[in-house]
Amino acid sequence: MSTTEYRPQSAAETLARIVEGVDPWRAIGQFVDDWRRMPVAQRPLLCEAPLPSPPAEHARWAALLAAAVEWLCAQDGLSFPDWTSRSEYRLAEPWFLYPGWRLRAWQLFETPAPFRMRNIFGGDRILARV
Amino acid sequence: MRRAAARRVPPLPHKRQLVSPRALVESVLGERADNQVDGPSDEPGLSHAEHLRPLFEKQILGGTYREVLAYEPCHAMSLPVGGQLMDSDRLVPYGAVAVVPVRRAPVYMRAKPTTNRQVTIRGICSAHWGSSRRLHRRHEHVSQSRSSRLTTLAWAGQSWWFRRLQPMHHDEIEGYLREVGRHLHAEGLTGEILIVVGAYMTLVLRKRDATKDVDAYFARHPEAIRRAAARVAKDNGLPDDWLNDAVKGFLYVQPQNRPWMEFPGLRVYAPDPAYIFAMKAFAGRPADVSDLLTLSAELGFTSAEDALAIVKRYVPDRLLTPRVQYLVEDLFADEHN
Repeated sequence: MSTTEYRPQSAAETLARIVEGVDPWRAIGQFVDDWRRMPVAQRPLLCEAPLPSPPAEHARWAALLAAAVEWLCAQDGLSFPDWTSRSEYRLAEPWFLYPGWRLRAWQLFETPAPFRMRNIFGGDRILARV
Repeated sequence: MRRAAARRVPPLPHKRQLVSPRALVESVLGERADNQVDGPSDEPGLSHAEHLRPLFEKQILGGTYREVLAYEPCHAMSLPVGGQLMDSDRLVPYGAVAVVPVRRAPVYMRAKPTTNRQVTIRGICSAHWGSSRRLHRRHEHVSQSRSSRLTTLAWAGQSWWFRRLQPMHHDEIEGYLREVGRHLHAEGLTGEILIVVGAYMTLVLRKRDATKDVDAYFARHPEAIRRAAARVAKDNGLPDDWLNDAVKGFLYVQPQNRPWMEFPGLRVYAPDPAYIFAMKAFAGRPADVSDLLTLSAELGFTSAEDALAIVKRYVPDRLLTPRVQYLVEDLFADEHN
């Protein structure tokens, strides 16, 4: 029986999967898991390709993914890819990832900068995996 | 069927060699275009190469499959699971099955492929399970129950190994767990695991179509389970941690368990759904919100107080932050405000 090694999922593939209908959090979680599995030096390979242009209904997930890439790069001391700075990844309206008002203040205060600057608010556990 | 313009395409790689999805598509479609359809003309679903291009581009380039690994050339086309023709469970993980352009050669029924010959690609065809029943009836190993899996990619003379990009569905997970059990059974062991989190939502509650991995607590023979899971990962092209016990550090209180499934060599237990609710509320990620709503309905909670009482049952007070409380309360905000 032949075997093969697992190949991690890039940011661009992640958005493509979301557009295909995969649960966005599942796709993003897979990307984050793959990012953390890879040696730091190889992680930029997962974000070097720009995101494909998403349909309008998925634009906010593209913005979240761009923020996630910047945040993950910052955690590892890596340079951001150029594509994350595109203006299309800044949402016109705030997007709060938790419903309801009780966590609004916490989200506004605790959300890391790459997300906040794109008008995405979700506290400090947006990319937490456990 | 129309014939596409013949063109020269690079040869397909042999042996175990990674190829880009684009290279695969161009190679296969190019080869296909040179050779016209090479399959039974009476086979429903047979398509010309150019008709297949959108399918290939969607399936391979579009991200359904992450990569394609050229496997050792086989004597005759087998399935992209390495030619284990007799094991229908092995079909499930791939969602795509190679079908021989039918020459009705007896070699189709061989349980193992011959790997010491090179056979060039002669053609590809596309068929749906439902539209090529006659073909599949000849391959009795193919269960008709797979008919919901519409996509069949097919070509001859080369077996290909598709890498999964999509998460595992419940039937796939059951198959993998069965394999884990088989390895354990071969060692004379019976392992026990407690599935939690995403796998619980997928396997037990069936509230999700799929999960990216199986979080579990390895209750018995943990090292043997890890070894068996690694073998299953290797055999099926799964991530090494497809079955993992990383969650064990978050089991603060022993939940009430009930047997969920038993395979030879492996017993699988599931916790009380209230326990899963508590764990997810404690984790409190944005991604957990939809599962919390689902579980809340499943458990029949009518108020935040009910839900918080369950969380407190399983999570120590010192770990219950206002964030957890507010998250749970907001789940019921519509009912209360």
